[in-house]
Amino acid sequence: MRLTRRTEREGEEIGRLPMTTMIDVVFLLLIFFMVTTTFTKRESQVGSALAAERRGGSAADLQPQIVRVEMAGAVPVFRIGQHVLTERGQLVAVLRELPKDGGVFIRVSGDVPWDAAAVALQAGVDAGFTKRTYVPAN
Amino acid sequence: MNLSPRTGRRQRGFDLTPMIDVVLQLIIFFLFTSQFSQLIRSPIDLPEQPGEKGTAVASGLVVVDVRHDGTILIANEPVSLDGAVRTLQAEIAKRGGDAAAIELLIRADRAARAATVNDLVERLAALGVRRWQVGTADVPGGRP
Repeated sequence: MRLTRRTEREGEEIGRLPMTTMIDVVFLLLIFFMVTTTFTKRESQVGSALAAERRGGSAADLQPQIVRVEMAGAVPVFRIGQHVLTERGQLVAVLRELPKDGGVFIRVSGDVPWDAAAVALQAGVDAGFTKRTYVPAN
Repeated sequence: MNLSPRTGRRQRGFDLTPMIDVVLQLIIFFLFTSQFSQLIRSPIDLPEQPGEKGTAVASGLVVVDVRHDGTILIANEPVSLDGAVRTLQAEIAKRGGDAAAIELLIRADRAARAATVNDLVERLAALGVRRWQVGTADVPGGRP
């Protein structure tokens, strides 16, 4: 049994892995990913329940908390009770003061841009409402 | 001046190690940042809202896109309102007729009129769909 350390003899070359093919493949992968990658905005979601608009209703119905998203002239506004608001921060502040048990109804008119509807839904999330119901109102 | 060719000395090769390191790092970066699931989604200018934290995208999600001009797209194909409802009816039938089992994501352009989405969700509510998700672009802060 040979227990002595192997020493590199002078003039002998250590066998090396051929790197050329690996580098070729790696560069191809790199070019592929660079060409195909598109940096899109990260997407998220806001969930809500869905309700068909009810016509009429009985007097025994509870008064729900309703955010109405409507146009006032050329600007979308959020109406809740006597409040007429234009920004998400204001809407969140008002919604935070309300009891959360009954949830919130978000009633969106057909003529508003979708952005305003999304703001109202987001405000419901930010204010801590777990029960949010979207009511289409064309 | 020494003009004689150098003999007996081994030529030094390039040290490729750092380059391979960098290239592999770049590949790993692109692998992680590529979102292949979103390649099938059409580019829509979504409302800029942070959304709900902790909502995972379900695998069996039915995605409906609404462009700014009100065109409804399913799997990047424009469909009419009736066509969209028919497609979703077929999805409900695939799930044993249980409309509540449908995972619906509506990606509507921020400039689209809400009327298009309203028409669609009214029809879906009539079919028994009760839950839906609204697609937003998760940008820091979002629109105030």
